[in-house]
Amino acid sequence: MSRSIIADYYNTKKIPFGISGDRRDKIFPLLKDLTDKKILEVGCATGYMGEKLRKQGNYVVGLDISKKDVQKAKKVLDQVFVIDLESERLPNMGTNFDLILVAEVVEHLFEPELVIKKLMTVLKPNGQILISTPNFLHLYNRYKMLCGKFEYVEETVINKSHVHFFTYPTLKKSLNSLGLKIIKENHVIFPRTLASIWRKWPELFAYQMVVLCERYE
Amino acid sequence: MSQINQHYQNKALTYCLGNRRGEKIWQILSGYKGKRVLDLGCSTGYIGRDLKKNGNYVVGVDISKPAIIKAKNILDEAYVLDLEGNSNLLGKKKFDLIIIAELIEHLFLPETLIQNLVRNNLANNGEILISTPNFLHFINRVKFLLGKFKYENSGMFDKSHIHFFTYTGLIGMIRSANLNVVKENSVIVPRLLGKVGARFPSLFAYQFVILAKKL
Repeated sequence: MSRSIIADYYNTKKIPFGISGDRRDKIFPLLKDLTDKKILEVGCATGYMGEKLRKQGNYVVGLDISKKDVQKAKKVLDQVFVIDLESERLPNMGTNFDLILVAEVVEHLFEPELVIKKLMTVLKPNGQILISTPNFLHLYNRYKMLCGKFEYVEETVINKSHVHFFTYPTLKKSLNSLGLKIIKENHVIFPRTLASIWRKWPELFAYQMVVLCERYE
Repeated sequence: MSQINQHYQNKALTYCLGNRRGEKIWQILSGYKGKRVLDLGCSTGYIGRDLKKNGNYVVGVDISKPAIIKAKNILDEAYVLDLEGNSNLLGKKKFDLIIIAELIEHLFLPETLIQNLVRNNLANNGEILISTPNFLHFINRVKFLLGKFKYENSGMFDKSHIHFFTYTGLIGMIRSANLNVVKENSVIVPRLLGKVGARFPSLFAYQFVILAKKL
């Protein structure tokens, strides 16, 4: 049995996955000093993030479910594989990655924890995982849902390919159950004005959660 | 086998109708006789059993093999089928009634499935019975406002629920498949609101139970 319907969806998706400026601005500061590292980018799409990391002098391997995107990513990353992480084994790409980048991926997975667990088998003992995902219970969403609005719309938190929603506490709990602790947080805060105040309550004001994790000792 | 298929293999055995949901569905279907019925996500055949007793011909499909082994003893026909896989098992077979109870919330592209069913498998004048939880029932709205949302092993926030419906979302999907709503018999919570509650399904329907007909 195959879940080709899911792969087909991502292959023909009209709106290309690209990381919004806001999110990129929060992810890259955490990675800007990385050089000479072995990086695995999960859900690499066309390689728009990995390309930058490669230019910093890192070795970047990309994985994505979309054949079409992987064709493009092959031109900018060191190695790229088409894989459905929920039904296939990891490709032969070596182990001991220093960093695994999982940006805007977990919300697309049926069982995200099982996938992260699988990815952790190729992570160095002291390696890091960067995860970003939307906060389902951002204040604005709470208000919208209170008013009865919940519609699947492309390019929003409630996107129809988002099959698993995270909140700040549930993300933390999932990471914890995987033996991961958060070492840095750099969320996209909304509203932007007075963000330095709002960031004290990520469960309400983080619109996109961005966390860097490593294994517990 | 993918993680998704694996998830359902034994879980489907535990699916059954909550009492009130079963009651609401049966209120609609108890008079049906001599129909060709397709039960999608039939599990062990717990809905189809009574329909068969009433003289309908019931075909069930489910993603779970262990569930289908049981359903084969209960229904007229039962097959293992991943509705979002590649199989063409249903082909152009026509049915007078298609039951889609507590299924669409488990699908990646539910509207595609329903559109295909209406086009290929629903007889002229055929009906579809759909039931699914209301994600924005007022109790959930309050929970979300307070920051409470987590997946559980069963119930409204079952972790295999990958697509959530509101009243507007569900009706929109039904219409986009060229179906017309002919009956609503949703489970209302709190129960004492009764008919008044039924007038505001977006707030008080806990489980939508809707019968729709091909336009």
